[in-house]
Amino acid sequence: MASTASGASRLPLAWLRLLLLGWLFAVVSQTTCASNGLQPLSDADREAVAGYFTADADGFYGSLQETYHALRALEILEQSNVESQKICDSLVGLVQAPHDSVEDAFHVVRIAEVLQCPHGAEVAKVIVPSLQAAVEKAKSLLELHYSVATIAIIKGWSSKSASFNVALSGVFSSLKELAGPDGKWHYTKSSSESSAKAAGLYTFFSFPTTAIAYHFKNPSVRGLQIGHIKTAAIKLFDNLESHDQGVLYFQESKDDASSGGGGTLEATWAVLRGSAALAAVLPAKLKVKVEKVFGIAKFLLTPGLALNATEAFYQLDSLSVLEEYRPAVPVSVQTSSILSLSSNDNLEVAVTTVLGKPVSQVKVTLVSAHCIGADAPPVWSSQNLNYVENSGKYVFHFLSATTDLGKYKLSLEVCSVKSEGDSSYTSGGPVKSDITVISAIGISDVQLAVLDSNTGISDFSAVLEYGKDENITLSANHLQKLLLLLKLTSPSGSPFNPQQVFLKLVHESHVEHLYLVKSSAKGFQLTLDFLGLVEKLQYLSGTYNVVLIVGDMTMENSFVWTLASLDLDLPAAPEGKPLPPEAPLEITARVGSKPEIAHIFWQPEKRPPTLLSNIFLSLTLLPLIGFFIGLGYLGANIKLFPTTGLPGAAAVGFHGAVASILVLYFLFWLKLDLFTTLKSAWILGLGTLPPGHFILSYLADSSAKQKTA
Amino acid sequence: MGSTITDAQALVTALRSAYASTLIKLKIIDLYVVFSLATVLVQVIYMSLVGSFPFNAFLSGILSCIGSAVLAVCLRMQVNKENKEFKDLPPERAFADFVLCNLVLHLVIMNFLG
Repeated sequence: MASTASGASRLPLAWLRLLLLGWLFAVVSQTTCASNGLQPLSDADREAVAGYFTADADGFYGSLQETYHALRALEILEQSNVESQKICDSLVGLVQAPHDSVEDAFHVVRIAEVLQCPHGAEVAKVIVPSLQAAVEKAKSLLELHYSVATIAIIKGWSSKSASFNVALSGVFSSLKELAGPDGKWHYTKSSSESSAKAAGLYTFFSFPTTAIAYHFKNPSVRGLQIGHIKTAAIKLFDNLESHDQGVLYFQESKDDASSGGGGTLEATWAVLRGSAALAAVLPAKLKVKVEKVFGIAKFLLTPGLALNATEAFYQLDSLSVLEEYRPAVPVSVQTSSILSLSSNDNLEVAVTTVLGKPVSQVKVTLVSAHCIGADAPPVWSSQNLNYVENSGKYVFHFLSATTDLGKYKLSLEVCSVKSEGDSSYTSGGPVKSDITVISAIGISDVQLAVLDSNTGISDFSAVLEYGKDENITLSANHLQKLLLLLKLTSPSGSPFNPQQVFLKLVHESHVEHLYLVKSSAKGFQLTLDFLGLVEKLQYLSGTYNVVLIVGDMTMENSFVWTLASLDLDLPAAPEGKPLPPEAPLEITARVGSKPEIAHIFWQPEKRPPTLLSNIFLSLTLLPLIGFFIGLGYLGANIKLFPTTGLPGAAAVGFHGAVASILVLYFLFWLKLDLFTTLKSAWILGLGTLPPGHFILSYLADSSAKQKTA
Repeated sequence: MGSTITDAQALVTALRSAYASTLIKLKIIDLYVVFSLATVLVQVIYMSLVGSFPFNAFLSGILSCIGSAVLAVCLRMQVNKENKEFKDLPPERAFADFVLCNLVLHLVIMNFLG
């Protein structure tokens, strides 16, 4: 608080330094752009945005808040098809119904203000009692905002304005409690995170609060609070987040998100509204850096920014705030891109606000105009442009008799005309743009001749005039040459060298051949020696159209001119390989579908018939049967198989475990993979070991006992 | 010519009588070997008829039989009491080895069978 007094005296110098830095920054950032990059709200965007708002049967657009958004947005878009009478009539009924929240009253009052309803006094009469109570018990930022803002709007409609003063004194102390040290504000006393949106809202309604205080001439309130609010507002803009290409916006915080915030658009809108409200009431201007305002404007004019009705409202309302923004109004500077020498165009520069309204209180200076590619000194420097009332544009007579054709780089400067009370306008630094100067080119001395190859004597020659359609027929054979001469002059009289000068021979079968016409000091010349070209022309005799093609970026009258029709007689193609003429490929042949490929897949191997396999399967089992028969024949027995007690169990366990391993192998063959099999085999093997070891050692012991016994 | 036939006959008779005196245990093992080899024969005949398309299956079938026959022969050598080399090896231990080796062999066979 104490620093604001000395801070005020240091501010002008600091502001100058900031301005210089701002200019430098802006200059550096312009290196890649052709123009300054701020385009006013496009028609496509306007249409898209207007389409978000559709009215219900009773004229409303959804809830009260949505209706207010829609009405305000449509007002900005200058669309008058709203049913204001219907809405105004129903507003009084809405306000009379009992309601607890001051938010509804706030929205109703705002709608009435936008539509300029005549029922203002009635509405105010109904709201005032509950409003005073609401102001006294408001604790959070939003509640304070709604109640105070409603008071600000209806103070003009109600005669009870004096009673608001008492309620408002309490508001200031509540506000102070919610203020943070570094320009950030809290929603309620208890919330820990602060946000840019809350900051915007704070300043958003601090204006009505302070304006009311001014209105009621309450000196104590005035002095205390203004300085505090001002520094807070300037600190607001330090919270700007930046994106590429100079776009700046406010990021919402977690508090905003949890309270249903509308994201970056809403945060940016809140800060703009708040700072604009504050700037309107402060005696001195609010010192905000110019490029910050510009960056915010760039963000708001991003094409396709608004995705729904609420976002559309925020975008449009923010843009309307920017149209009359006290710190600085960003303007969009658009120059004409092509100037024609033949129609003697003037350079026109349109300076408009972000919503497209022309601005006339600026001075536009053409700082310099350089021809691109030449190192010559600038064609123009430090010229002022004049404002033309009818078209709303600044005009300069750029062209003269000596202006060269080609591309020019312009650098423009837009400054505010200094006068008290007017906003200052900013274009974000010097504006760079490219223009092209074009003109009609003169074509003269066009001569077409057929010469004899050896002697050079012309057998036929014709002088053609551009614009006249003369059907000339030439005839030539392979022993002759075709000669073309022409001259091209620019309006200043010097010879003109366009980018494209071609001669095309088109056969009646649509086969084309293209030749470059070279330039020399005497003009353009091309000699086609048919003797050497016979093979290139693929021995095609017949009628050819001789077509001259001339074109350039700076040429207004680029043309394709059929000079004559040529009857060419070439020798027949040599025997053996007649070359097929290359007709130009149809587009569809190149990008159309190719013939379908029939794939040949790997045929599976031939397998033996099932019956044979089954027979041999049974044959394989025969030796096994033979084995068992043999065992019986040998007299093998299992008399020694222990039946009782632990040995019996171990024997059964051992045989069972081995059998389980074999079953596992069978499953492995059918469907398992090696890894699971190994895992299970490992476990089953461990299970086989104890019984196996026991039974075998038992048998070994018993046979040893038998031997000794 | 006649003497060779009579010699052969005498040889066979001598072998038979000598064989009759072997233990039943060993005869069981011999029978098992014969059974394995017979199975091999059947498989080879089948392969010669239909060709060896799933060659891996053919090989695993044959190797299974021949492998188990080989292991049985080893078992017979170890169990035979007249074999001085394996005097100290208890026959139960040899049998355990036989079982284990068979299990490992058949795991490999099953993997190769596909």
